[in-house]
Amino acid sequence: MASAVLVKTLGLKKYYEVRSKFLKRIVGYVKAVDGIDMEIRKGETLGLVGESGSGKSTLGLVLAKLIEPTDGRYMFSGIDITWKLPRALRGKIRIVFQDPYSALNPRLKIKESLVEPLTSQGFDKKEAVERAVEYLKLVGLSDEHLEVYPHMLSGGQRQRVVIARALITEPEFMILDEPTSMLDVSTQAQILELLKDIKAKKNLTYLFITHNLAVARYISDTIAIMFAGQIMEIANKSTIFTNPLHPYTKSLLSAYPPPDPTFRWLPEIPEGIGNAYDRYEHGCRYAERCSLRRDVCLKLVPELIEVEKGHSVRCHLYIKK
Amino acid sequence: MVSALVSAVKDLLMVMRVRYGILILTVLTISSLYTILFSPFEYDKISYNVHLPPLSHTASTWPHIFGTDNLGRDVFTRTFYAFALDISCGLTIVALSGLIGLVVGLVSGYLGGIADAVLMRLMDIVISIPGFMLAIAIAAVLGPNIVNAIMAVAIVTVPVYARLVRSVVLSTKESLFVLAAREAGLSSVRIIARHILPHVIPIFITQATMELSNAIIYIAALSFIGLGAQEPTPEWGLMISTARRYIREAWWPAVFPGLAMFLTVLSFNLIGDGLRDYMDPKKRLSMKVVE
Amino acid sequence: MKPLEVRGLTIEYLTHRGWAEVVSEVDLDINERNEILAIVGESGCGKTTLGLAIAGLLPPNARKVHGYVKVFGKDVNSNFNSVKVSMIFQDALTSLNPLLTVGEQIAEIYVHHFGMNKKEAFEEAKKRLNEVGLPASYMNKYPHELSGGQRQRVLIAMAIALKPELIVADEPTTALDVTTQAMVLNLLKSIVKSKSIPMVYITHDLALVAHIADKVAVMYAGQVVEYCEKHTLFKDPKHPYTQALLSSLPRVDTELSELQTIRGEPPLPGSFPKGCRFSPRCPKAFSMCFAEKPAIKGVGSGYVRCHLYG
Repeated sequence: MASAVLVKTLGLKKYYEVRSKFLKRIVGYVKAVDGIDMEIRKGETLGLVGESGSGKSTLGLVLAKLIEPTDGRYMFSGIDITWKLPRALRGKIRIVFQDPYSALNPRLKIKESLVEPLTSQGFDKKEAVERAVEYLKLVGLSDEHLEVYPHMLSGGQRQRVVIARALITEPEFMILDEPTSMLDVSTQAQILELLKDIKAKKNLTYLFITHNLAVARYISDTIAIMFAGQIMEIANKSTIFTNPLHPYTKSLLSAYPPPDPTFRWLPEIPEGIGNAYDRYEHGCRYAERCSLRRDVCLKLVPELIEVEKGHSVRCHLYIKK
Repeated sequence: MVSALVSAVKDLLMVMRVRYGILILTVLTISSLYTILFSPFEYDKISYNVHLPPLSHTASTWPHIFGTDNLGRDVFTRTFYAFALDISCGLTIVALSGLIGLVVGLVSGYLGGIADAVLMRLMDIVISIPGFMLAIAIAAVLGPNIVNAIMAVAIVTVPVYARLVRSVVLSTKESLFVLAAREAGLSSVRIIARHILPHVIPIFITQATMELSNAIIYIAALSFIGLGAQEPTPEWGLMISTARRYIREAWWPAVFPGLAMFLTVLSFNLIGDGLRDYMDPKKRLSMKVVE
Repeated sequence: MKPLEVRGLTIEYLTHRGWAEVVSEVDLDINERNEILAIVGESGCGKTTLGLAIAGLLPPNARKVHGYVKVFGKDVNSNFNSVKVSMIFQDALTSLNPLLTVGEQIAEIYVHHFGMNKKEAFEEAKKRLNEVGLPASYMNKYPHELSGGQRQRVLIAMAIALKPELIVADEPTTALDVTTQAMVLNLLKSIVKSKSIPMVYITHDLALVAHIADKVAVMYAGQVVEYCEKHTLFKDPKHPYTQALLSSLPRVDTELSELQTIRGEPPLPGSFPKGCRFSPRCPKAFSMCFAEKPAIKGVGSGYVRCHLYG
């Protein structure tokens, strides 16, 4: 029995204007997010995987309502929140950033940073502090951490504070933008376990943005592969690995060395000496790097097509003519 | 907050320069207070004891420690009354221009766009004219008195603060914790107050301390050319200006005010210098893990 | 002569709380010319300091208090010019001069170290670029015009231009995308094998180690806790820290139901616990571990630092 759709986007776009130096005319666009259609069900963790330049962080910021989209629709619980977040939904969508070292104001005590999301909404300070203690304990810290400054905590502890700060407004949907990328492996394991734990306890829905396919496999229910602002493939977490369809997905998978020296690792190295920012604008965005490209790939952007239940691909190889 | 301030002051006092600066300032301040309270001479009382050399005795209880000037007034008393006056002027100028500059810098830096463009062009206009020339022009237009001089100098120094504050705001605005504050739902005003201002204040205070000595020099200079304090106000620049004519007969009415001004400006510069070095990230925060 | 011999190396750093030990009693070897030794550890374990020491690049606020590093029998510190060790750093953008073209920076090495004239130096520089897979047209590009992977290739070109006897690579792929990482890794491996230059590869990523190293040293809190052949490490890890590290890795190739976590945090230099440095966090610690420091116990061709084996 599938649960209700909580987050839905249709053709979501974020374009940045590139202007010429003298007359400030628009000479082009940086298409950071270029038409995202996705659905996240309540209680699901969608792992959004992409390399640098894929637009995944920009998408995260748009969904967190920190950046306005250029086009498209963003629906939350059936309500259109593309341009405005209604008061009732304030605090229901929160984001956790990648860098725990810069996300906390170094001059504020942890207590001050924690209560901000509540006091800004009009909560009484005393109540806010009580809640802060509750959430500190939930993330594995204690109330003695209230009075310290960020520089006295380790990276892992800081990230826990950041997570507590996100949880304190009792959100339904959390966007996690590479929350463990700057942490050590053992700390990463702790934080991933914590996130799983909290999700179950608080009935949350996650969008987990990462460049690390292994982390995505571990924490996600569904995985979406993003390239050049578009979703190239989306499938349930096992299917992506057992039956990858998109050439980019296959290339990514091959590039991950499993920690097993007996495995014959043969990564697919992209043609030429390219850039993650190299994208072909007139057809399929992956065309330039794709070893299987055909004529049609250079002319037409493929649509995201459902190939089997719950598994969609954006590739001409799977579009029947 | 208070304990942080106390430890900051303690650290600062470890710097030699700051100690000297504070020492000089203390000596001068105490002398000034003592003089204002207890001096038997009045700063504006004219007498027949014209150009008495330093340490001359007269009928009064105190000797004329610094001698008398061309109108028989006690130079020592006048010098230290001028200390109080010049410092007050300096503080007023710094407070006025600092406040205006702070607001301009905050608005300009945070809002950007048209507001930034307009305000910064305004600042550019002010700063493109040599400070002293502009101060003279403004003071001349407003009329030669000390209040107008204060306003003139204040106007001229606003851009210094505005630019400084704006640059700090611009860099802090991009920090992740400001984005996080926005995400937490804070209004722009609260973000500026809680997240940006604390980063602005230390640099602002350092600059203000340096500007204080500049302000004193400006006021003295304007008074020197007749556009600031007027007779019989005891003001260093004015005193030096008057004493210029008789300098071959009596050096003391010019030298002592000058010396006092030099020492005052020096002490503020030493303190400000020490403050600026202290603000440097040499004071790296230690990585202590709380278990 | 052995390409690399490190014995009893102990290094301290000056902190505002005095001198603190960051590398303690390290013994390492590289025995063959085309061998890669990987040093694995998390942040703060001292691996970067160890790498700098091997390259002879310790900063002035660090001092070696004990032990030695010998490259082909020559002490790295005694006569600086006679030992040639190249270092490749993590962040290519800050390691390259933004005001010089790539060609100029590589050619500079030939002019200064080998006394060539400009023309010859440029020709050699072009050859190095080709060896790392960049075309000659890249000679005139500035660092900011290149992608991260391309910059890292330039750094590698500069490292081999020096004709080094040993290369130390400190997390050269950490800042790169996974596809670029694979390319740089292959490039480094091929250089080691084709030019027979031994390499010390420092990383925090155990998965990389499985595919690039011949021998592995696992570091924790300034000490090498396990040192062995690569296959041994993954098939039969001895030290509890190594085991815990391996079980805490998320995998691309299998579904895991949970990750093993290591409770607590690594100790900071200057506040190491009494006894075994890993004991407070070790799931297999027993009474002796908290009281006595474990000595190195030889196992096969390597060793382990743990009371379970002593």
